[in-house]
Amino acid sequence: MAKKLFSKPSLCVNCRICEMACSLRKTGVLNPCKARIWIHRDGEAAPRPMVCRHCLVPPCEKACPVEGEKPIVRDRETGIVSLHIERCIGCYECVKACPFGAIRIDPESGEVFKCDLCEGDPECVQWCPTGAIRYVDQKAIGTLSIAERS
Amino acid sequence: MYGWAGKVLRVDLSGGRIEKEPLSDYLRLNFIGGRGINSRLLYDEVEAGIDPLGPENRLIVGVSPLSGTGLVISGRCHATAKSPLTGILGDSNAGGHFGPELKWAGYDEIIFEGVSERPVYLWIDDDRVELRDASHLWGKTISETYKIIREELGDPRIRVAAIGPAGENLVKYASIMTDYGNAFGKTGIGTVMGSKRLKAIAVRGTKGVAIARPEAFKLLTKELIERIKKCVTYPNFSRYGTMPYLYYYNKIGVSVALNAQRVGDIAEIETYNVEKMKEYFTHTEACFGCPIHCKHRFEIRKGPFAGEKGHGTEFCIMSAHGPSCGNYDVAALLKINQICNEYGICGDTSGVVLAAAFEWYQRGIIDREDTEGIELEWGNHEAQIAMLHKIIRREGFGDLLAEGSAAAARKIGKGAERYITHAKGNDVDQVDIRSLKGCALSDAVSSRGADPQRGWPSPEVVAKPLPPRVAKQVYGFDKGLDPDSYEEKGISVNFFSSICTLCDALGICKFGTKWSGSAIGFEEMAQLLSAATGVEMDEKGLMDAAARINNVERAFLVREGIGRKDDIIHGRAMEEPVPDGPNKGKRLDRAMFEKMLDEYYEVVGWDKETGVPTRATLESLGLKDIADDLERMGKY
Repeated sequence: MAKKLFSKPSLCVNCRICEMACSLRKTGVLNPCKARIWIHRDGEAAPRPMVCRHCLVPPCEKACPVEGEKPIVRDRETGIVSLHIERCIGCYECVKACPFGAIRIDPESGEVFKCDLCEGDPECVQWCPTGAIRYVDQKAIGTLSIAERS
Repeated sequence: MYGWAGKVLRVDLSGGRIEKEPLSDYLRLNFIGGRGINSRLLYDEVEAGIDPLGPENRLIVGVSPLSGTGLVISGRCHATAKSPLTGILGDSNAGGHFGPELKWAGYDEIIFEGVSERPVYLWIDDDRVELRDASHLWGKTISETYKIIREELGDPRIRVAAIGPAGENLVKYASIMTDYGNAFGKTGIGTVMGSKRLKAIAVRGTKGVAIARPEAFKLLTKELIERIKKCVTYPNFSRYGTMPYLYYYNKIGVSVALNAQRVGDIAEIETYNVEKMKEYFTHTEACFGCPIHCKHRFEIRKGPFAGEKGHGTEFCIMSAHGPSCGNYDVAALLKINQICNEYGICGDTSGVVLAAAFEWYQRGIIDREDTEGIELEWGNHEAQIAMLHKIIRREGFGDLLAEGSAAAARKIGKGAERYITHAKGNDVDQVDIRSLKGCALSDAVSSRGADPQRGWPSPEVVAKPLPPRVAKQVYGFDKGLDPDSYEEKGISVNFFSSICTLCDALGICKFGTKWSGSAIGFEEMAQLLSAATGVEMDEKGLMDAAARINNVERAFLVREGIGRKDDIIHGRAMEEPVPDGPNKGKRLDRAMFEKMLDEYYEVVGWDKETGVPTRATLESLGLKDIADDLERMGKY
């Protein structure tokens, strides 16, 4: 059963522990610019964790111009949208296409990167001190109450 | 190098020159970071007797080897200068996200020197650093400044530390604000920035921090977060921030109202119970890397201030502008909180100064003519807001109050000084210290003047004191924690001020430490520092670093002429007993106070007659050069 990262922005306090934990796990350094998850904060609006939704019809996959074996593919079975950097041409079309800003660019190498759900045990979920990021069964998301969803 | 970025940015505002210097091993290994390195730099670069508002003063902004690592509460940043309010060491510590961003850009310290001819701001974009014109920002409030800078540099993620109109107008207790609600508040750090015509520092950093032992650091911090969340103080802090302190201090008899004419058990303070405050809170926020998240955004939904929104309500400003000024109107207080944040003025100090003015008015020391028609009657929050704006603009009577309570009282005369309480020109605020002997001693010897966060023995203000046997086990002493006792206070103040000093040097928030009933103690600090930097540091090493910082700061004060005679509380709290409440009749006894001082000097190794650190003390900490300086000045 596919599980998804699901955020509850009203619980997010913008501590950015998720960003640092993600960066450490994925790159070995502490740098929010290398984190797969990031907290969007726009003026007076509440902070909002932004991370790949592993969309059913991923705009990134659609936008990718690479022909043949695509660098971005959604696995029908697991529901995971994964990035194969060795096939990537670095055109950033996927970055532009993602409505959640979930595909990011490494400031040093210029390569794109995205969330891969940490082999089914997302680091950000383990660290979030308020429970604002959860890893839930995608079917269960629909049955959550309105309050649970906001 | 791990942990530290290894670079110091020196900005000469007079000549417009920017230089990058390496961070010396001497500084980082002996003074760690933040307040430690800042204080040593200030001692080295600022000569005694200079004008705090002149080009010779430095504004030093520093972060620690833990800054920017996240995962643990290390988002704080320290700013240091010679204080225009007190004429001695001035410094202030702020949370938020500014410090980490500075670290990610690749700097441990920024040193500003000189004075710019026209308003400028510093833009740090990783390695690219430039001074930019800020003429269009001069006069703008904090949020306007953030907005314009982020728009003109084209990046919403830029972190800004800025002064508001109060700093520009050289109000002596102007603050530097970061992230809307985080303030470098006390001792007029923003005033120094204003005097240099430096409107803001904007930073964007993308380099991150490399640490020595990532796996060890990860294990440590994960466990610490869990422990912090299990601490007894966690539920209140995370839900209501520091607000419940007011209510709680009222119960234990140390809250103040009407400029400390009433103390403890004040019925009106029930207005501030957390349930009522909750009506105003909209969203909880954290500083960088903090699981405690004590900050709150608020919105006023009804009444004359309806529609006002803001950040960062907390206990100190609520107490100083609230009960201290006879103001129990929560909405008016939130409005005042927002004025302080937007105009960049210290919320604590401005409240205490206004409270004193209210009492001078009550006693006829000043009248309506002096205040240009503003009726400073207790609880008249319209008058309070009007006078606050006059202070910010340095207009009329506000110009006098903008000098600080001690200077204003001296100028007014007529016994006005009797109604204020300060140590070395910094006001005693927040709570009444007459029944808290160790806190009073801490205020008297603190290097930036009276200040709770400098080393109050926090167990003095708990509702249920530790049983003596347990206290001895945990701390090695028990009377030092009893608020009524004058014994063991030297050892107690030194212990707690070492925790506070290390917090400021490591960029750790005191609310995550054992100082405020949370999890981080000396042992945890040493483990974090070692894992992050690879430099092995044990508890003894940390205690030595704290002592080194304390002694460098003391030497800075000694050079400015401070000695034993100044290590005292001035004004009301020294002269009068507690007027009412559970601690009615308690007072600070002068002779006993001097005994506490003797003991403190003995513990820290300062001369009992003069209050000057002895040569032996300084040399044992590797500070022979400072002992030589003091000897040349004839201090031995």
